[in-house]
Amino acid sequence: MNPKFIEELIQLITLGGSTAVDLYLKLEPLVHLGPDEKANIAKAIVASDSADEDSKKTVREWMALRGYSTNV
Amino acid sequence: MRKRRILSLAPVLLLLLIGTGCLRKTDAFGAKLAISPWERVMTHNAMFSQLNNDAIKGTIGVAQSGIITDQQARPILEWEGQVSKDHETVTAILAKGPEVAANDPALRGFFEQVRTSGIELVTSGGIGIKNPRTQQSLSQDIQSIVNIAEALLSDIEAVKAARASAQTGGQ
Repeated sequence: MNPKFIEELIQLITLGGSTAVDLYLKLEPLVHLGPDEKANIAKAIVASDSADEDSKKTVREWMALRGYSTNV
Repeated sequence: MRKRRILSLAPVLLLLLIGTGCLRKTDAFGAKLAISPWERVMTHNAMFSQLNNDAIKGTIGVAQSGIITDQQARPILEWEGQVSKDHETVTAILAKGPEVAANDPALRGFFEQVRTSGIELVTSGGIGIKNPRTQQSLSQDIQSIVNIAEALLSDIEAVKAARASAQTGGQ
């Protein structure tokens, strides 16, 4: 495992506990790029669309549960 | 509260992940490779979506725990949800590639809108959250989204400059 990765994890655990690591682990795969530029870009597009779709769904569900209207 | 802690650390995470050297590109043997300006744009764009997604879940967590009311959470979630909705269009533009996307005014318009509306949401006081620590924590979430929007604006400018330079050099 990359020593810099371990160093960053330890820094995050020290600063924010395990929850900081949760977000770090979600973002970390995005910052490790493979040799193929097209594959890296395709991966980033899929990750972006997937997160945005989940964001909209989460907000709509929360608003609906509370009887709020939303433009999302 | 656990979610609050991580979200208040978002600026720290961004410093770790957006800063120079945090993006790593390697070949099959682990040797470092150069990252293209467009790979940087697309990677930061994906991080923008993920960070906004986490901010949404954090806001809901705070509302569920009773730290803020649903009425207070609503405008924040509306803003974050609208950002994710509009951001899908941005990703679709970026997917067309640097030749088309780098000069599309909609990109700059979106990220500038995120920046100005995010700052306005934080500074307007319209959310009505009195607790300074909660207010600061939510402000930091929004500020971290604004920060990555600014990084993306800078990335796009770098792509445009590189392309302009290549064209000038070719003449």
